[in-house]
Amino acid sequence: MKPTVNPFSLTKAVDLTDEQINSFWVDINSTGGFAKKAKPTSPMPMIIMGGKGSGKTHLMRHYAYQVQKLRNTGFDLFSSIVSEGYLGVYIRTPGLNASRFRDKSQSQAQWAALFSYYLELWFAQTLLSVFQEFITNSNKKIDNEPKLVGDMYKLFDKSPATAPETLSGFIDLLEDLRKKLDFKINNAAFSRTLDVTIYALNGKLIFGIPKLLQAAFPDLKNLVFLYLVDEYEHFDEQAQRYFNTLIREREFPVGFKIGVKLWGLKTLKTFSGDEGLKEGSEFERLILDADLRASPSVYQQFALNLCRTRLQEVISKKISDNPNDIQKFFSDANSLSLAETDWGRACARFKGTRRPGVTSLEKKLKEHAKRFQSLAVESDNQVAEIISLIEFDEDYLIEKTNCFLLYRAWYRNKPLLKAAREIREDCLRYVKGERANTAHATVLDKFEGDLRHQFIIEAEHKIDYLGLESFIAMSHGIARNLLTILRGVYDWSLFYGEEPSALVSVRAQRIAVEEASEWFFQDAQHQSDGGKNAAIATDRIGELLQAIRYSDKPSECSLRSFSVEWDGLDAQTRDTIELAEKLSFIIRDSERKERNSARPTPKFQLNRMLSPRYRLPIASRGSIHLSISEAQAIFGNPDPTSFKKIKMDRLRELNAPFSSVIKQGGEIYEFEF
Amino acid sequence: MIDSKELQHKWLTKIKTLNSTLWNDRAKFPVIQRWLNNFQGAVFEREVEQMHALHLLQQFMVFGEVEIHELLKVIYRDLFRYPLIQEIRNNLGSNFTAIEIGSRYNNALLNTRFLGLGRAGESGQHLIYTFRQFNNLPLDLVSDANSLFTFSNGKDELAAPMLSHVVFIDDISGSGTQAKDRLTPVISRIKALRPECKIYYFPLFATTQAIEVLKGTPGLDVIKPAMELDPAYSCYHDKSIYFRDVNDDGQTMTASKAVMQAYGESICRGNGLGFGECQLLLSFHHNTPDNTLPVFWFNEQPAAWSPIFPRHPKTAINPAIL
Repeated sequence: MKPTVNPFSLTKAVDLTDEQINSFWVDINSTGGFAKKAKPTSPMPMIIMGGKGSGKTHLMRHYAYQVQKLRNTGFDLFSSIVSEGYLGVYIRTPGLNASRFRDKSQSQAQWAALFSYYLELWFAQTLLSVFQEFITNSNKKIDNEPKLVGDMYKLFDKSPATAPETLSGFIDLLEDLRKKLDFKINNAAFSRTLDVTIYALNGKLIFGIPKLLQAAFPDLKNLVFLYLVDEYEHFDEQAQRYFNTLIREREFPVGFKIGVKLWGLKTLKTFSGDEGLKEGSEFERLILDADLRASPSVYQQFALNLCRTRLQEVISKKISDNPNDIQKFFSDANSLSLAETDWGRACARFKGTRRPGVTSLEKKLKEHAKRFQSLAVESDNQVAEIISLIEFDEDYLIEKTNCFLLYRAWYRNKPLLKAAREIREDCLRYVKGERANTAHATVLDKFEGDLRHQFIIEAEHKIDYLGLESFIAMSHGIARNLLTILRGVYDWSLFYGEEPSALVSVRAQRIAVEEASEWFFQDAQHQSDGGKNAAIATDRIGELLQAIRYSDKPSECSLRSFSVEWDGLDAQTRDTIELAEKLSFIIRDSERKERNSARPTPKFQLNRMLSPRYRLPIASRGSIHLSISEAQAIFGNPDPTSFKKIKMDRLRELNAPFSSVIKQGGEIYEFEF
Repeated sequence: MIDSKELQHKWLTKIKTLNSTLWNDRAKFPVIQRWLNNFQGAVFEREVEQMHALHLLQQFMVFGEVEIHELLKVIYRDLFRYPLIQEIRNNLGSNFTAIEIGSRYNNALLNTRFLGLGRAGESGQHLIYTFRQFNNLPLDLVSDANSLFTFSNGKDELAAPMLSHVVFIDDISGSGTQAKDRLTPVISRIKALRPECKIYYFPLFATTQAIEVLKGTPGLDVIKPAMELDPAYSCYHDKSIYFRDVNDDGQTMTASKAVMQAYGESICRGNGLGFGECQLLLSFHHNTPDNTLPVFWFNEQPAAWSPIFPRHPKTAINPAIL
């Protein structure tokens, strides 16, 4: 039996063939599409940043000549490229192995010069190979090839060899020079010498050759020769500094697009008088995922199209542009009967038995409430009466609300029997439909999702994150997150024996979402000490948000966000927060000033991909504010002791018997939460 | 005790990966579910029995087409060709050239016949075709047992009078008895006509026990499998590799054995833990050996058993339907 192909199995653009880059390409549905943002015809250099999997490589390879050629199949290639306005030369920096250019008993200045020379040869060779293929495939001839090649040869400061007469000969010469250089660099560790003659520097070839090509082909006078330099994070600081210098000193008709992960831009400095590149005048910056997150409807449409393009690979029936047409492949809460939902399954578990939320309340009342006079609970009989008023067999959500309200009364140090009677009255009015001004309506307006999730977890069930819309929201602006969820969903669906063209079952989605969340947490990690700290801190913040959300009286609804007081933080805490943001564990929501203060308090969301891992909601409403000591315990201190303490302090405020009540009661009372 | 949901999920995830990578999609979830439904609480609670079944399934080995092809190459290259070349070199002493060795090897090969063990339609015969293809052997070197002989002037003769090597290929020898029974008469005929002819038996797999039994086959010079299954591959042996993930003084193993034996006996009386009580957990791309636990493969009517890696049984002709 031949396994059915999973159309989402390839999630990394680097693994795709040029044909797949072309056929899987999806543009955004806004005026001008991605081209308006990435501006491939603009000679202004651009740094394209983004979280892992945000689509940088796919975007840059889309602009590479090899893919330009494919999308113009059937048309006149030469005029198509002229009309696109650029010729894309795609270069991945890992191929250079920049770490070779250091140490081995040579000075930094020597390595800097050598690196710069190497880049000249490498870029020029790649550019000319692309150009030669372009000319050949366009059935064009170079009018005076020996002159063009001679002019290119003159770009060298000194003759490196016998002058070639053809473009191929010139490419061979560049390759030969580069290979000899490779050999010397690779053996420098043994020879301890680096006897190299540098024939060109400072962009002589990188900028000079495009000018000569343009002069040889007047039809290309407006064409931008676009160097697409991907995975810039593989350049160390020194290499980036050299390249930044090239960017600053760029000359028409050359353009640069630099692809780099959020954490990978090590410097903006140049060697031009030690100055930094100036954003706006010397380069533009595009942060792909942030840009997509800023336009949720654009991202939603983009993600739907992404999914449709892949699914169409295995489904013969045409999937229309209508969002419903694609969403209907995935069961979601709307397509399930109540009994099949996470809520329905949890409810079924307690038919005829007391719910854990009530049991826990009763236990806490018996153990603690009698110790505080203000609560006016004197006997077990009174506890039993309270419980009978709180229990509500007819509707477990109302019962959860009752519990919540009683805990709130406890927190406010109110007589609990009286409070329970009021809650019962409110509850009955609410159920009758007289909802206005009931505490239940107010609580459920904000906390319904949280109370439902608490109940599901109490029933030892898992929370559902179902349907394509949820997956898109979870992906948080990063296309690979979505593809990874869908890959898992599809894998499990196939394993469960489901038809690729039929509805994807709930069980396939449940497992896949959980796996994808775990995958994200592992995949986003960075193997540096800072990266490990960022992962630990993310785990802590997830754990804290989860503990608050599942406490007796959560302080905030739909909690997935937090803010920090930036000014007072130590350097390590700031660095870890910033790295966690660069690794996309947390997403910056907004920068706001605290009330009555000029102090900045940036707000962050935990990446929605982590919601299943910490049983958090996809939507985010409430936010907790972390004090300086809390932020430092979470992000600044690898030792878990201080984190455990601040977590415990927070939870004492949110779980009965509530530390505020204990303080008012004047008792020294240790309670394990 | 194996009973947690988490463990079930972990095993199912592993099985899913195995299914899509090595099992060639033979065990999708609906097949697994039908198979698990065989376990209905005859020994322990149904859920417990099914967990024992899953525990074994996530360790089950399937040798697909690619792996079998590679093993067939191993048999020819490592078990036959290289040792023969080594023997030729030893015989030549210090005066040898590559050409001389090549020439002698080719001569030896011309007087070699490769045979599938068993009757036409059995797995040995099935493998010999693929064996020839993947080792680029001339068609003339592949034979069946009867074609080794001619009958002229009222007596047995060898079709290749200078026959020097006869190699029997098979997929598995579990107990060794069946292979021994099949080999003995053929070897005896060959040796009677040409005592110096060397006889080899190369199964893809053989248990240590089978190798010992086969060593007692008169006239068999070499018995060597591509992969020897030592007692660790026997599911419920003291050294079994299948219970290393549970550390409970053998309680899980004992319980698992009780379940598999009870169901195994109910469908395959007298061989509840596999023929020759081999207790294997493996299947091939072309068939599942009967030495594997029957709960995995039993596929015969009228038993209402849903196998997961069905065995194509050697059904005898029923005179009633002729």
